[in-house]
Amino acid sequence: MLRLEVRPQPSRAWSYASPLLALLITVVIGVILFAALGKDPVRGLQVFFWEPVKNAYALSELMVKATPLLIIALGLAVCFRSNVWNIGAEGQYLIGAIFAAGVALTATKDTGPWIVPVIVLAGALGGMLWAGITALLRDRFNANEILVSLMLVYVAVQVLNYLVYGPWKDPMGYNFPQTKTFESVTQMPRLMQGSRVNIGLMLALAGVVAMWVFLFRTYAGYAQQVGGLAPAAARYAGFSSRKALWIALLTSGGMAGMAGALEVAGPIGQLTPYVPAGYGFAAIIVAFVGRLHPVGIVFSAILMSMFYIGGELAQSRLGLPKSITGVFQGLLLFSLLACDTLIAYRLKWKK
Amino acid sequence: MSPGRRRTLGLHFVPEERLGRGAVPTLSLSQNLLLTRRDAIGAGGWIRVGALRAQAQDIIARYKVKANGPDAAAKSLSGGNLQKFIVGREIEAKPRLLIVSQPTWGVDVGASAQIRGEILALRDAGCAVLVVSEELDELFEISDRLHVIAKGRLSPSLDRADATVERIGEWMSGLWDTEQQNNKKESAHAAA
Repeated sequence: MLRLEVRPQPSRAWSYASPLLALLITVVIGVILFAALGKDPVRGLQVFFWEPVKNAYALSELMVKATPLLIIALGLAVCFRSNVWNIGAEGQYLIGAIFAAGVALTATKDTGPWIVPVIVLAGALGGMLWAGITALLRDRFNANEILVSLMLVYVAVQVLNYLVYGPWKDPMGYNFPQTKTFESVTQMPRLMQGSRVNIGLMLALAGVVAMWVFLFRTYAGYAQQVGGLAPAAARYAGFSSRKALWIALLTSGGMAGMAGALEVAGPIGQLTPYVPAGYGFAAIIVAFVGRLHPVGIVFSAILMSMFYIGGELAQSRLGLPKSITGVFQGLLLFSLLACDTLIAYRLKWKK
Repeated sequence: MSPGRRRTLGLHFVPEERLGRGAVPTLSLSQNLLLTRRDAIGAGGWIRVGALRAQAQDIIARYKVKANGPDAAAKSLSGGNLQKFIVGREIEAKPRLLIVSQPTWGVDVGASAQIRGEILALRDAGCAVLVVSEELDELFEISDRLHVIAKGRLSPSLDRADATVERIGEWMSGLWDTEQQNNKKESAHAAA
């Protein structure tokens, strides 16, 4: 029978091959799924893997979706590398969007373009505040950060609902639960004509470089990761675990909040109950599929963005329900976790 | 006082656990230098990777550490070789006081002898060394003075020349007071 045997050393090759194998398994199960649903599997794969990259416009839409995923996942990578399990990025993203909307709503016809950086900073601040609650409760009362950050997502959703159904509802909006459309001056500047790609993509790519430098070239980033790898060694070295906790949560919260600001003052352009699109949760998968490495996360963010767009297209082209996106995300994470076994173990046939 | 502050004052420490405390198992030897050494840290906390690898290579060569270069993960080394690297890391920091806990636990004979030799050389160079160990042979070999902690109390200092296994054994049961009283009685008799 097949047996798992511990490898003397974790396999380097498999740590790169595992995400690819996971993707392959996801595709295979996807094909079976399409067939079982009575859809043409080739058409299904085309919708997920070809349509999102077939021309310049499709590619730019791919980037629009990948940007928030990339920004949030970068922050989460710092968090997970320091062994702080923030799974509430969705909530930090929402509060960031709300803070950004609060600033954007103050804009009038004669507001200058200075408001754009203020919106982005307000978003980051909002996300940091929300993550700061988790950090404070963990620090002071040793509350479990997984539960606290997750539950705060639902609090954030209620805050959003209260605002769009209550004080911030557009008086001219036929009673729809949404704010008025933000003034055009608050729109994130677009990079080129005819596409929705905006400066968020540049910020995300700058974030990739900054994160790489922080993690692999600075003493602070080193100290941050030692706490996650070997807490006793961190104490021996004198790296504060409290400091690591705060840095991890404030970084990931700030990044998630910034993504929220870029989204609400970018492609969405107003606050609605549909702002939570699951980016905060999907980014957890993005961070892990990208091996918590800034460059890996770029690729996994693009992959996840394909699933989002493919899922939307599958609704219109194949008549499949929206949940197909979630199914693919789940399949990918599940098979990745399974394949990761091969990094530390090898399969052996024994009688 | 924080560990970093203590190190700048010249107090270095080799803990008894190698993997997980003295070194991060999954990190490379050069990265493990950064736990206690800041020589390769430039302005603004920038890590000078070249200098760091050179420093690690230096320790590997000087202490004859059998390792696959400065990029080898700490856990890929045998216990003795990793211990040589950790002891080397702390000695090279030129401490004024070095505390070593169980320097040769689970270390092969050759590496043990080498580590003891390095500790003695450090003493000769003028550094105060405090060795915490359970192995009496080792203590007798490398110490100048011995103390025993028993029942939560610290014994008086005992010169290496006056120490025997029996005597330390008694002291380890906390019996140094009775011995000293006997000594006093004896000297009183002698005086009388």
